[in-house]
Amino acid sequence: MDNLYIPDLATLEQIQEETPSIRTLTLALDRPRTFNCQPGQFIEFTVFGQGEFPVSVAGVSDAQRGRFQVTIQRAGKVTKEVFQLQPGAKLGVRGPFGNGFPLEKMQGQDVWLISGGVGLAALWYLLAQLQEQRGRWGQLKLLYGARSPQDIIYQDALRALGRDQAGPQVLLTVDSAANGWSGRVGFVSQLLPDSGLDPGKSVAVVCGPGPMMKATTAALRKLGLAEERILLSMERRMQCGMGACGHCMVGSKRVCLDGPVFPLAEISNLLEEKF
Amino acid sequence: MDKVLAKKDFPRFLADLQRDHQVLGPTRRGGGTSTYAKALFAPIRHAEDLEINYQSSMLSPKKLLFPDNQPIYEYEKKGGQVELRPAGEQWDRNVVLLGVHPCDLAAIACLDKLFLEDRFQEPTYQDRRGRLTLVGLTCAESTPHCFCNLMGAGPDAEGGYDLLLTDLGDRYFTRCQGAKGDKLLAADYFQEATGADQQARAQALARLEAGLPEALDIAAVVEHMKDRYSDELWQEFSEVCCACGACNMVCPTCHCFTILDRTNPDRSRGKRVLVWDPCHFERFAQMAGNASVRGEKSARYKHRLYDKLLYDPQRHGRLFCVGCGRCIEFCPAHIDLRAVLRKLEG
Ligand SMILES: Cc1cc2nc3c(=O)[nH]c(=O)nc-3n(C[C@H](O)[C@H](O)[C@H](O)COP(=O)(O)OP(=O)(O)OC[C@H]3O[C@@H](n4cnc5c(N)ncnc54)[C@H](O)[C@@H]3O)c2cc1C
Ligand code: SF4
Ligand code: SF4
Ligand code: FES
Repeated sequence: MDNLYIPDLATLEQIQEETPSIRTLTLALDRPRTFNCQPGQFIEFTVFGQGEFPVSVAGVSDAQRGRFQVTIQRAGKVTKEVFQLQPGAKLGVRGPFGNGFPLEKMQGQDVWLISGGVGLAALWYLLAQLQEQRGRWGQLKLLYGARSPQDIIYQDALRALGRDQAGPQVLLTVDSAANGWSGRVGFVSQLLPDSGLDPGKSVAVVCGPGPMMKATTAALRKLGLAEERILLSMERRMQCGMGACGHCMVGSKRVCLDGPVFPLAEISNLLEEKF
Repeated sequence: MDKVLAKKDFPRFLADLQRDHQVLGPTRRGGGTSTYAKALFAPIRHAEDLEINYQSSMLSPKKLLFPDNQPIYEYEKKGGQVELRPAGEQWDRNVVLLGVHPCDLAAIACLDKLFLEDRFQEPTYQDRRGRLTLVGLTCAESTPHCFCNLMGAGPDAEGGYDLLLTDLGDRYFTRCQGAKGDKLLAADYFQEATGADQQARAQALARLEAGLPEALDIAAVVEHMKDRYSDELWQEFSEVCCACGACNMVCPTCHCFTILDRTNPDRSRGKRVLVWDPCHFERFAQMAGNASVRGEKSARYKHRLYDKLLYDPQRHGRLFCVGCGRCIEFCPAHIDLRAVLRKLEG
C-alpha cells in the first residue's frame, strides 16, 4: 500500500542565493517520475532529522525527470536548516498538492500578478506559464514589493523581464531604501491606483504576507474589481498537505486541498480576520 | 436477521471468535493505579477479562483504529545517503472489536467518511478497518453525560456494525448486518429470535431512552449556527475554557493530527510519528506574522463545534458529534455541550 506520508527522495542539485535569508533550490527526484505540477501547487519538503514544511513550486525545469525549483525563506526551526544544505544533499518531497491557478478562468483577461516578499515564489511558475502561452491572455503585469532593495528575489530574471518587449510590465517597490535606489518606495498595494487596471477585463492574482494581502485586496476592491476576479494564494499552517490533519482550515475550507488558490468571493466570509 | 444468544453460550461464541481473530473489548485494565477506573479497550483472552457491563470508556475505539503516537517511517542518514523504512504498525490478524456502544459505532462511521471516503485514504486506518469485525452492544444504562439520542446516534444503532447485541438478562438479542455478521450467526448456539424477544429488546431500549435528555431540535441548532458565527455567545460559552485539549483527546470523532520527528541526539536517525493534535491549542493554526488565525480561545472553541456540526456534515452528510458525552465528563472547566446546544436551539 502506498503510504502518502512517506516522501520520495530527491537530490539537491543547485543552490541560488537570492537574498541573505532566501535561497532557491533546484531538486531532482531520485526515482524519476513525472512531476505533474500545476502553477500554484506546493510540495511538502522534508529536511531529514529536522522536519517538514509546505513550499510552493516556483518552477519546473524538467517535468519528465522530476526536476523543479523551490524558493525558501528562513522563517524558523526547519527552514533555517535549509541554509546549511550543500549540493548533493538528500531531501524528501511529497506532492505536488493543492488546486493550482484556474488558467481557463484567466483566458482572454488582463492578468495582474501582485506579490510581496517570498510570495513571489508562489506566482513564479504561473508567470512562466503565462509567458509560454502568451497569446491566451491580454496585458500582463507583475507588481512586486520587497522590504528593501536587498530583499528582492529573482533579481536577474526580473531585470531580463523588464527588458523583454513581449514580457509583462514589471513594477517594483520597496518598503524602505537607502541611497542608490531610484525606484518606488511604498507598499505594493500603493502601486495599484495608477496601474491602469480595467476591472471589466482583469484578473488579479495575489500572494504575500497577511497584511499585504489585506491591503492589496482593499485596494483592488476600491478599483472596482469584483471578488470573483481576485485570486488569493493562501498560506496556512499545514501538516499533511492532503486534507486529513485539520491544521490548514479556514472555516469549512481546507487550504491544502480546496486551495491554496481561492477567489476572494469564496473565502472572504470564512476568514477569521476579514480582508 | 435477528437471533438470540443464551449467556451460558457466550464463552463458546467468544472462543469461536478467538480462533480466527484477535478479540479486543472493554476491560477493567488501565485503572490499576487510578482511583478513577474506566473501561479500556484491550485484548480479551478469557471471558473474565471482559467488562461487558461497562458504562463508558475514557478513550473510544478510535485509539485502536487511528492510534495516537503511531510511527510512520524511519530514516537513517548514511554517508550522504538517506534510507527510508516504513514503520507503520500493522495488525497481523483480523480483529473483532467487541462491546462497542452505539455512539462509538456512529463515531467509527464518521471516521470511515473522513479517512476512507474523502479525497484521501488514511493508510493505517484503511488497513485496520479492513481487518475489523464490529460487534456492538446497546447500553444497559446511560451515564449522566450521555446525549446520543439528541444526535441521532443512539440508544439504538442503525448501522455501522456486523453484529449488535442487546442484553436481555439471560440472553443477548443479536442483530446482524452484512456478510461478516451472517457468517457468525450461522453457529448453532444462535437461536431464532421470537416475538417476545423482539418485544423485550424494544422495552430495554425504551427504558434506556427514558433516562436520556429531553428532545432537542438539532436541525434548528445547526440552522442558527449558520448566522451566529460572530455572536457573543461563543465568548460566553468558552469563557472558562482553559484550552487544555482534553475534549479533543477523548472525542471519538476528533481526528486532527501532527506529524513530528523523534530523532537521536545527532539527528542522523529517527522516525516520523503521527500524534493527535488538539485544535484547542493556540499553536495548532499559528503562523509567522499572522498570529490571529484562531488566536482567541473562543475562535477555537467555535471552530471545533462548527467543524462537527456544520463543515463535516456538509461534506459527508452526517453529524460529527455522536453525543457520547466524553467531552462533558472530562472538561476540567465543566463546559456542557448540551447546554451550549440548547442555547443555540432557541
Ligand atoms: C501552501 C504554502 C506555500 C508556501 N510557500 C512558501 C514558499 O514558496 N517559500 C517560503 O519560504 N515559504 C513558503 N511557505 C511558508 C513555509 O511553509 C513556512 O515558512 C514554514 O513552514 C516555516 O517552517 P519552520 O519550521 O521553519 O518554522 P517554525 O519554526 O515551525 O515556525 C516559525 C514561524 O513560522 C510559523 N509557521 C509554521 N508553519 C507555517 C506555515 N505553514 N506558514 C506560515 N508560517 C508558518 C510559526 O508559527 C512560527 O511563527 C508556504 C506555506 C504554505 C502553506
Ligand atoms: S463532541 Fe463531545 S459528545 Fe460529541 S462526540 Fe465528541 S466527545 Fe462525544
Ligand atoms: S476540555 Fe474543556 S477546558 Fe479543555 S479545551 Fe475542551 S472545552 Fe476547553
Ligand atoms: S494540511 Fe492537513 S488538512 Fe490541510
